[in-house]
Amino acid sequence: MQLPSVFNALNYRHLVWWVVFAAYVFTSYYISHSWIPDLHNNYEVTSAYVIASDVARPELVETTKKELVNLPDWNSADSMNTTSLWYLLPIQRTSDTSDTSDTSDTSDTSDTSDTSVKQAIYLPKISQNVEVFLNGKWLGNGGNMEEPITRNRNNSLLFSFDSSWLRAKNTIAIHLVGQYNSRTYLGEVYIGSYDQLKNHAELNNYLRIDLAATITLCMLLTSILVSVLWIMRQSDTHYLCYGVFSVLWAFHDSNHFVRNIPIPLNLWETLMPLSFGIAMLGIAFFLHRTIGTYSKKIESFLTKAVFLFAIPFCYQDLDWILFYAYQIWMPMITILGVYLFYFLYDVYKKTHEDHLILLLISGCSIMIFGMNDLFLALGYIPKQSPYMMHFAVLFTVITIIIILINRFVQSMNVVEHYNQELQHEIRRKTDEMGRTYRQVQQLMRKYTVAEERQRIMRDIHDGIGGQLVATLVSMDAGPVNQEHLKSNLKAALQDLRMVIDSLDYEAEDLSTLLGMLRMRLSSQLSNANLKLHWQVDDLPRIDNFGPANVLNTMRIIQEAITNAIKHSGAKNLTISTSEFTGDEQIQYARIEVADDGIGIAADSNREGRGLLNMLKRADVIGAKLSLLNEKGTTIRLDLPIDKQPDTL
Amino acid sequence: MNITDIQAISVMIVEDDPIILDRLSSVVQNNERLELHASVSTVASAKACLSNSPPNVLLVDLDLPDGNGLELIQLVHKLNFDTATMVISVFGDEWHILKAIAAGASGYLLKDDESIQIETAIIDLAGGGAPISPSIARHLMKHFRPEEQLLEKLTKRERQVLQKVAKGYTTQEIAEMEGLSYHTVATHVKNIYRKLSVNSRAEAVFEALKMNLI
Repeated sequence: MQLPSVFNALNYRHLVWWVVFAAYVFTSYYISHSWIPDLHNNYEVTSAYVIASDVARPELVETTKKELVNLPDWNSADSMNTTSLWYLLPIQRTSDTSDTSDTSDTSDTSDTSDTSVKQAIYLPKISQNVEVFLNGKWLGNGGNMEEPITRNRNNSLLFSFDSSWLRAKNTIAIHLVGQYNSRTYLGEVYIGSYDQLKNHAELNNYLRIDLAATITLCMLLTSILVSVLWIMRQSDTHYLCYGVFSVLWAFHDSNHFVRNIPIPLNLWETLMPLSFGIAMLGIAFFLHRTIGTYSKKIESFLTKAVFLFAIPFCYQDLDWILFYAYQIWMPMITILGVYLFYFLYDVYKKTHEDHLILLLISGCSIMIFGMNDLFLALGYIPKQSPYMMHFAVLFTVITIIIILINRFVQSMNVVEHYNQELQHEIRRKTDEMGRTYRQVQQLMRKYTVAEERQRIMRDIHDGIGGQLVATLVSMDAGPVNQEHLKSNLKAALQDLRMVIDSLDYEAEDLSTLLGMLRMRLSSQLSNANLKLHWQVDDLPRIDNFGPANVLNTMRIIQEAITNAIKHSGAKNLTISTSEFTGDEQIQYARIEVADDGIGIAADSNREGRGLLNMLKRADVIGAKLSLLNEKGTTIRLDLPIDKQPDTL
Repeated sequence: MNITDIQAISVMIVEDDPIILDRLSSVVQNNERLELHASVSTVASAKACLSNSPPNVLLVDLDLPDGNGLELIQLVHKLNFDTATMVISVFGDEWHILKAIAAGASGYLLKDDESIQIETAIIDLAGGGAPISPSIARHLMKHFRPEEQLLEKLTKRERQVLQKVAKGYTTQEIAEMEGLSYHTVATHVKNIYRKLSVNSRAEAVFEALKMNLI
């Protein structure tokens, strides 16, 4: 039952990825090994004399111990146990028709100059560095011939000369130098037209130097970008892991194209495998954090193991470093890689997330190309074969960047989704709040109405109720004067009218209220022996005044008018309204009832009680009542118009 | 109205409360300038009486056992009788009074008014007067607000009269303040009533159109 699950895992999309990966690997190998066309056989020099010697000039080479070897010569340095070899290549002038310089040495100089063509010696595969002489004449070298020796392993060397320098018999002397005899070799040697060889050399350099350098630079660039991302989101530590491992890996990759190492060789050879190993540890950290579920224990074990295995590098012997790096260190790192495979596969089994497959494929690329390079270093495959790790770098970087971008886009989508959700929620809440607010308002209105109703009921109970009860009681006591009864009932009715008037919504208009009061009192006023001066003008509406306050106001005014009619003996009664601004910029509405009667002192007891009543009512409605005793009595009621802050 | 000193004002009363009907009838009968044309207590009998001969003044209670007094007011208005209608009302009943005015009534009586007030009101009405209270004036001002899209709008003078009435001034006082005759002020009030009636009927038509009744 294991098999079907594996097949299930290989769904169509994954299959496509694997196929793309296989094509990538195939293409990489093709490009590295067979893409550049072979040069014409005619150009190749196939045999040479080799002499182990570390002299600097060809004329100093002792030619007695020379050996004839076939070129390319991969093994002489190793077998001769040396890192400095001289190759002497005897060259006959051939009668190649394509070679326009193929004229006899007897030709005159003008001829020669006419037919002179730029020629070149081309060395596409050398282990480290060479210096080339033609007939004892120095043609050039690939950089430093002494420590630190310039590294031209991936760098094709081309030494040009003029065809006029050629004689009938020529000797090309190549001084080959390296650092390790086992890895010192001289590859193919070509002599021919400079233009054709140059073309080949350029292609070679593009492939082995420029491509690797470009990929490494890209990696550094992504490292910088992702590090910046980490600086902005420090909680996402996998960005930091990426930044670190990609920098280390980029440093390791520079080994392919840096020709003159800037630091001592031992240190360089130590740092190279170390940087790669720690980069792999960084990848482990990165994968752990990207995927999210991992064992801290394993992580700490891996870290300890890597740093423990790094300790032997402290012994700075070049042979030891090389031995340790490729025989022990790199296989250990391979085990780390195998663990990562297992980890990815394990998580994939649980989650079936696509990007894990992508990461697995990337891991495969590292494994395949890494093994290639390791086997190359260990000598299992020919030492002149190209290194290929940078192809894994390219693939891995692209994969990881795709995954990171995908995650980023996904989180953007999530953010957008939640943003929309949030807006929706806000709208919903706003609606809800609006509804609640309306409900509260409705409740408040209901409450206000209920409160008003209660006040009015109390008012009716105290006022009309009291009057009616008193009348009834007086009727029980004995025969009652008809007129007295009628006036009592009329008073009760009057009060009822006022209560009802105060309930009229429009009646909150005080001047209309006063008008209604005048109408209700019209018979009393016309029966009284005084002249009424009506000077009522519009008064501003008072906020939140309400029927109860209206009723109290009307009661105060009615009491004042009734008092004036009954007790003042006045000839004139003036009822007037006005507006004024009092202290603290508060607006007031003023209602005045003024008579020219005897004043209040004459009958203080009776009027005192009425006045007390009026004061009490004024207090209830928050108004100011004042009594003026000049030329009769003036009752003045000042109502504040502005809304009180506490009633908001 | 064709009222002369010689001719008495014929009054018809439609009221279902026998005590009030009695009282109003006796008030009319006891005044030599008034003549009781009919006193009935249902809409049906009132209609029968009206078709015989229209009175000068019609006193109508709104709440009748077989219908609404408004029907009678509308009928009088429709038949173009030379009859002034008055609503018999209780105090604090401004809303019903306004409805009656909108239907074509030109005045109102309060049930608890003194006899003398009732007599005065009837004679006044027959003579072209139009009783109004500050509260009614205030309601009318609201109805005729300048921003309302009305068929009939108030003139400036009518607005001034309404404002004064709303503040409690009497017709006499308004006439003095505005330099008008008492009758002119009364005419203004009647015109305001008529405009309310016109607007109300227009509104009713509009409402009926909206409800697909016409």
